[in-house]
Amino acid sequence: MARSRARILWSNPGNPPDSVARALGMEPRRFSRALHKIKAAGDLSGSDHVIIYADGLVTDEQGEPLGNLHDED
Amino acid sequence: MSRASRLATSTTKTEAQADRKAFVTLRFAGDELDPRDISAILPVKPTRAHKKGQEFFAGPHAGKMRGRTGIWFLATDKLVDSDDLADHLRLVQTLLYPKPSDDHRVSKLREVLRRTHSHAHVTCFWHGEPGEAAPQIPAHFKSAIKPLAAEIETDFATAR
Repeated sequence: MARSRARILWSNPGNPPDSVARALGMEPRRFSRALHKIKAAGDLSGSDHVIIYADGLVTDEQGEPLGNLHDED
Repeated sequence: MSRASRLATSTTKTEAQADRKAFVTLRFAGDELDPRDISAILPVKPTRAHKKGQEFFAGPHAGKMRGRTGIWFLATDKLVDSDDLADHLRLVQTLLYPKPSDDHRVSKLREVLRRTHSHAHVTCFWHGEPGEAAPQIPAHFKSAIKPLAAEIETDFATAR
């Protein structure tokens, strides 16, 4: 999968604020659950740095795709 | 049929499940791990499993991806029809120990982890309502996974 050309919504360690969920059109709990699963399935911890794009793509800090938030549930 | 298999086949996807506020994940990961070795021990279909470098389908939006490492990953949210974290932990414990005194699966898992230089992780997700008390991880669960040297990571929060 090619790296997203969508804009970056979040690029930090830890849990993003609810504003990131809202920007993706997701209910905050649903968003948190999806991100938790994507990080765990990527063998990352919650404190690891990820990048979230406006199309829902999540990558690690090197830009390696981990999954898409809109695919969870 | 094992308890895990019964749970896996007796639930249907509902809106309640889509908004599940608690679940647990169990994963085994390592560059040398072949997830088929884990599937040969644990009688449940993993949520995701691939070897390092193996292509897999991650979903209609993500498409195909390549495994960053070898992984066998299970999320309990589609298997346990409950918002109580303890029910999700119980599923994982029953998977590992089909009977309280039966540790043959854990022994086999330890051997796979040792041989493939891999590790085990458990994560607990719980996002409750405002003012709701966060759940505790029972001591018997911590003891149960100690032989796997599995870290337990919690992601607990309440709605703002």
